[in-house]
Amino acid sequence: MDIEALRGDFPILHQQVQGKPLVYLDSAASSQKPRSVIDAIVHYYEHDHSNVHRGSHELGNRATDAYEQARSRVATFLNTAHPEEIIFTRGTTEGMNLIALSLGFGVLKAGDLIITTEMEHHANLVPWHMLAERIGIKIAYIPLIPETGLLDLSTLPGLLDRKPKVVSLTHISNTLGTINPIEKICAEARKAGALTIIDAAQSAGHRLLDVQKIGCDFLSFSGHKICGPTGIGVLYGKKELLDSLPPVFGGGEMISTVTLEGSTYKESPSRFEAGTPNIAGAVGLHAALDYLDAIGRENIRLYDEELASYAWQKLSELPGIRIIGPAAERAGLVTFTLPDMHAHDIGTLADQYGIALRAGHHCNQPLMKKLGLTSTARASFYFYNTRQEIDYLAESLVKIRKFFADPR
Amino acid sequence: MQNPSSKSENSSPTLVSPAFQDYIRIQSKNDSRRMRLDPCSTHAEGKNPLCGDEVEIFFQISPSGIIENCTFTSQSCAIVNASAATLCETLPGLSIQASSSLIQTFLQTLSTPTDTTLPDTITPLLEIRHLPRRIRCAELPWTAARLALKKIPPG
Repeated sequence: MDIEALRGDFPILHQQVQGKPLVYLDSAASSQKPRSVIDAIVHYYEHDHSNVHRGSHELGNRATDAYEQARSRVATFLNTAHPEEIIFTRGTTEGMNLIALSLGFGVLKAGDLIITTEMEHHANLVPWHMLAERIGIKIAYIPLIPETGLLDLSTLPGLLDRKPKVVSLTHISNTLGTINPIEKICAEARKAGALTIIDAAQSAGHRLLDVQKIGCDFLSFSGHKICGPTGIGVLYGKKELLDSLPPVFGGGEMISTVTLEGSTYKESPSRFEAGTPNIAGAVGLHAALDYLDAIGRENIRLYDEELASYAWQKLSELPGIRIIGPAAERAGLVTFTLPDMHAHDIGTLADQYGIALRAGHHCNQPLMKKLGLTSTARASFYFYNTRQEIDYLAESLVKIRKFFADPR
Repeated sequence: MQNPSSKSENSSPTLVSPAFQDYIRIQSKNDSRRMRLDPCSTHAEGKNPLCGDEVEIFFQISPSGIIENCTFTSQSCAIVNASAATLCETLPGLSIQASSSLIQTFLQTLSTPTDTTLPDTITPLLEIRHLPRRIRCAELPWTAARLALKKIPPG
């Protein structure tokens, strides 16, 4: 990969922040957008915009074609059998809520068990907590081994013996960088008769995702984390399952008939896409997927791992640093603490060097508690980051610590 | 590409003014009142969940309603710690009412500068207004203190 050339595709990277060149190390929170994605959205609004599916004019046809072509593109991106298995959402969180609510409306009942893990993002915890409050489902957790940052999968058979209805987990932890063996877990869950849901927010743009190979029933990811715009995401689901589940949002587009006495609903995907969708977002997502596949997602994965390994090695040299998560086989992010410095201060002072880090609990409060932490700093990488930027991060952290240690 | 380079940057990061940097750095390490008070007359926690700041303020109050001692515990950023240390230096000797009034004035001044004169111990902290995203850090110990004092029955 020609990283310099790729960086040239991202207009936002070429600016100064606090008088220093921007070093954007926060892609796990949101990735930056290449010119092709920006141009696709601009072109759509300059030439093709109208509402979809209901128009009888040229622009309506163009907008509908653009939207449905985006859906087909996502289908090939995930290697799904049918585009109807792709539901456009606002992002991973909405996708997780959508499937949890639909299952809550139509499948789950009081006492039913959901299995998830101790390393989940709130998007894959809170919807289940809400269902527990509303309809009385039970939740059990695959525990985390704090020392390794890995799930204790020795507990999985015992948990599956309890006949859960759903097993829902993250593919890649946004804090630990842990890559979970989701194919294996989905296979075991399937044997136990459980539906499987994968939070792919951190994996979708960083490696090949083949839902047929993974064997999951549902999978959710966000466009904005994979070079697409904000406000668009994808919930994948097996067609026979989606068509059997009740819709969650009601209104235009998802109905077959409406009378004063009641409504009937379309099949997937319309079933789950009430109202006017984020058409421009879908167009932008399409352009993002094309951009990523032109680079090659396997190339991205290898580069991610190279940067992660380099960052681990480089930051490990800082005295007293605690890096969280597995040392090897990790995704492209490094979450850490420094002694005597709150993560919030690390982030604020790093910003003064032009470095964008994220500080806080990263929507992982249970994970933080398990690790005995309240707040951490995270540097997350993507294919537009460089080793030099990691060197600069390490050098800046040395200066930041010196600043705080200064007895003046 | 503009390669980041630390070679051309030898100075410390600019938080706000150098004097404010020093103030935060030194005051955040001021542990003279960093302890639990047990027993205490009242206490309350403050949390900023988004950034992981947690602080607890403790008061020892005389029967006549004068604050005899004020301490804090904290797992927080430097600004919270500096602000808590400042709070705990400022309130002892004041009545509950005067303290509550001072807390209210300080919190209002953080968002809307006023002409009200604040004690010299607090004045350096006001420069946090130049960092709007960190004002809630400076506020946290004071909102916790307000909560603690509200628990004291009137009279």
